[in-house]
Amino acid sequence: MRRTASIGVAVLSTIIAGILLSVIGPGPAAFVEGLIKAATTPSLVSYSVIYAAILVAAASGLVLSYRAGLITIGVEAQVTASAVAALYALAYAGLGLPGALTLAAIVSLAIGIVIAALRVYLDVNEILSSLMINYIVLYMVNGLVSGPLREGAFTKTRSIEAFIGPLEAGLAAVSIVALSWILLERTSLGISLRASGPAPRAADIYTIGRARAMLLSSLPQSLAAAAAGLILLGGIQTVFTALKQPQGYGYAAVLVSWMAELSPTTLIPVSLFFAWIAGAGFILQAYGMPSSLVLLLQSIALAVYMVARRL
Amino acid sequence: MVEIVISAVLTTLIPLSLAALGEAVLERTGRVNLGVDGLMAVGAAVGALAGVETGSLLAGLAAGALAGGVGSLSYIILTDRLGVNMIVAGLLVFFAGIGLGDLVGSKIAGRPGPVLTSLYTTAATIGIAAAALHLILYNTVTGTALRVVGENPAAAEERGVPVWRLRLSAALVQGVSAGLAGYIMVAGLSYGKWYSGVTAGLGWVALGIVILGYWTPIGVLIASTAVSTVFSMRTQIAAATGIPPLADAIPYILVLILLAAGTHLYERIGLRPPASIWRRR
Repeated sequence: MRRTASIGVAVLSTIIAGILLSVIGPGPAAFVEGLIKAATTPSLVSYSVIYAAILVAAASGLVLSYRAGLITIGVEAQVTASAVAALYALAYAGLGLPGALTLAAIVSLAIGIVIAALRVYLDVNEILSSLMINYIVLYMVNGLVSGPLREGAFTKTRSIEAFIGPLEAGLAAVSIVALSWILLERTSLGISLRASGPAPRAADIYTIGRARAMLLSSLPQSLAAAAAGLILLGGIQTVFTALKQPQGYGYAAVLVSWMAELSPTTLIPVSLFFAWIAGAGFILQAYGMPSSLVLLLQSIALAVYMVARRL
Repeated sequence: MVEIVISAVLTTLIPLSLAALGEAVLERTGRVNLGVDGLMAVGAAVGALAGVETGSLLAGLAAGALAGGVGSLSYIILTDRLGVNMIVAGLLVFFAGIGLGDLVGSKIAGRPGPVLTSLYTTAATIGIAAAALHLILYNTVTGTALRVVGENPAAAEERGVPVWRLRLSAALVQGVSAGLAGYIMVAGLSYGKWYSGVTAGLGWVALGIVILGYWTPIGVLIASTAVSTVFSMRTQIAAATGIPPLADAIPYILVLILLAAGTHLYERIGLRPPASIWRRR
């Protein structure tokens, strides 16, 4: 099935699945109400645009790594760790926005390079190593929130004023997508990245080689994840509490990148759709539905899309 | 004192080894299901729902196993019948399992269900199952066929080995094991009460264990025991280091270090994992 038709089928199936699943909770009417409100209520539209920008930024980097054959899931840790690092720079160290951006980038790069280096130099499966790192970072964040960054009686950090609105977030996301596209389509590194995944032997002979392509891809990937973390902090999550589970932004970005078939330009509509579902999920949480319902619906969208594309 | 320590090790060892053993069987057929943690999550929630509603541990175990089996069936249909990339399919199962698990589990969050008390019997059963699996894999025609599928499915198909049937069976074993492991985490580790995130990412640790145990049931059991022992010492580690979150992260750090050391070592000494999956060069 053609790509547009497949996306249409995936959107429709996800809405139907959401309606069916909400029977367990507040009922189908609540889900439909959530979808309508998410698309019409100004505050929810703002939330959805910022949420989509986070996904677009994170997935723009993933596209590069995945094209190179480095299937990292560590973006989940990178987004959260970058946001916490930026929070530290802004609310504790008084380093201002440049300092926040620098610190977020350093933290994200450290995670990204470790994953890529383990894969390239020790042949460690990057999916597993990145997932282990996701949990290690989760517990480190909890350690910081309940320790050095704790503010007051409760286990939470200092909060900051939101400094990113939907317009800034949207512009940032579009710029990052554009950079990702230019890097992939208009540079010699892009040729190496695109060759490394599907044609590794050819990449080794005719380009900079698979190993270097994977290592190099982790740099822009990490920077994009850091940008996503900064958008998360400035636009949605201005304070951190202890985390029971990974937050899910990075995981959702993984789904987005696969559903966009690793094409930077397709990331935007797919992210907006995922954000719309997240907006509806936000409403349903008020009715007692778990936040991970969003993850379930997003994975249904990808599954239907994958199947539809093969028909 | 010794009994307390052994119980602490067993509460992690039982679900971890169970999930890892199932995954090892599946990986021997050349399929990696990254969704182990999702299957555990859905098994935990569905099992807990059945356990709470009926008050029966057996009903909880059966429901958990069934939920895991259905989840794994979806995975193998996606990969082998619909041609979806196995990494994407595994991640889909993970995400869907977490979401579905939370959705089902939120109905019974905090409500007490039956508790698994017979840790020794359960651990012994898993030990026997691991030994039997080892024997089957390395000493029977079915086991050889299973391993051949993991080495070269096309050649196996040509020689008349029922590739799809073997993969389907292995996937069911994997799903049922993961579902059971998930519910055992509720009934054992959290004393019958379900809560969101009850699997604590142990499904991912199980995937690492399969590599550390070198895709053999006995190896998996040894690796699970080592990691569970360290994991059970997290209270002591927290007290010694004064950093409780570091203690929580210990199993993940340990698996990461062992993967870094082990994968390299396997390459150096010429050991080869099932060819159609983990061989990267």
